[in-house]
Amino acid sequence: MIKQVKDVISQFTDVTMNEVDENTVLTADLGLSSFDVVAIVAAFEDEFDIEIPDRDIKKLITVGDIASYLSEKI
Amino acid sequence: MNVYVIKVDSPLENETFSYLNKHISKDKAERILRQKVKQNSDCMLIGEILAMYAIKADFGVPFKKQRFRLGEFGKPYLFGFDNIHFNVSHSEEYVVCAVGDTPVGIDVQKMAPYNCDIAKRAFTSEEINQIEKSENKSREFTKQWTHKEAYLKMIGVGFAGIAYEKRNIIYENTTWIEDYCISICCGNGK
Repeated sequence: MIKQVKDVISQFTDVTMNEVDENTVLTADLGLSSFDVVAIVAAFEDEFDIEIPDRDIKKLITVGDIASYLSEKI
Repeated sequence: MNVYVIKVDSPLENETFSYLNKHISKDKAERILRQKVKQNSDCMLIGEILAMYAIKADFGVPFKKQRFRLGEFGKPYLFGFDNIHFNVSHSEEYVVCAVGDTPVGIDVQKMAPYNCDIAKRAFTSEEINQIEKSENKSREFTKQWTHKEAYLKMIGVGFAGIAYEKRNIIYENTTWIEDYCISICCGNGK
């Protein structure tokens, strides 16, 4: 799952995915703006055919958080 | 209320970066050093320095008396000066800072291609209609985004993608520099 998450995130940042692990924080480490975060959430919804409610977005802080969240949802 | 804008079109030299990074709070300096993209760390650092400069220029608060703290939802504020408000934003080559005596939010965003998925998540149907009707959807989409983000940053929640009803606004404005949209929003503090 981490690899799938990294594949999606790689479309939104110039950081090489070798530098990204489950503890990487989307905003603090990768410098993603809230615009990027919403775009990433929309991309995950597309990729995994799920709906991520607004209230859940705030919980998705690290790459690991996203991977665990998606594992539960799909 | 004043808005300060800096275009960062070349990377900061290491010596300059280290010098400036020593003049901001330890927490922020560490966060900046964690950034993996040079442009982000440069813009974050310049944003911090720009806010300090603006607060000194507009309110005469010396750098040594400026202490930034984070509010409940992570919005930075100037500790000990309840009547001075500031907000910073950056997007690629631009760093912007608004300072004033009422709560303020500012957002800069490089023009982004219109994205229905983001729009559905972030905007009301009325706002989406306005984008759809526009001759330049991407421009209108970016404008609506910064508008909303500036408001959310003004009230201090600072996270877009959630529909809020706008309240207690005393001034808002949007302008473009090159293909960057800058929106500001000032509130009455209620």
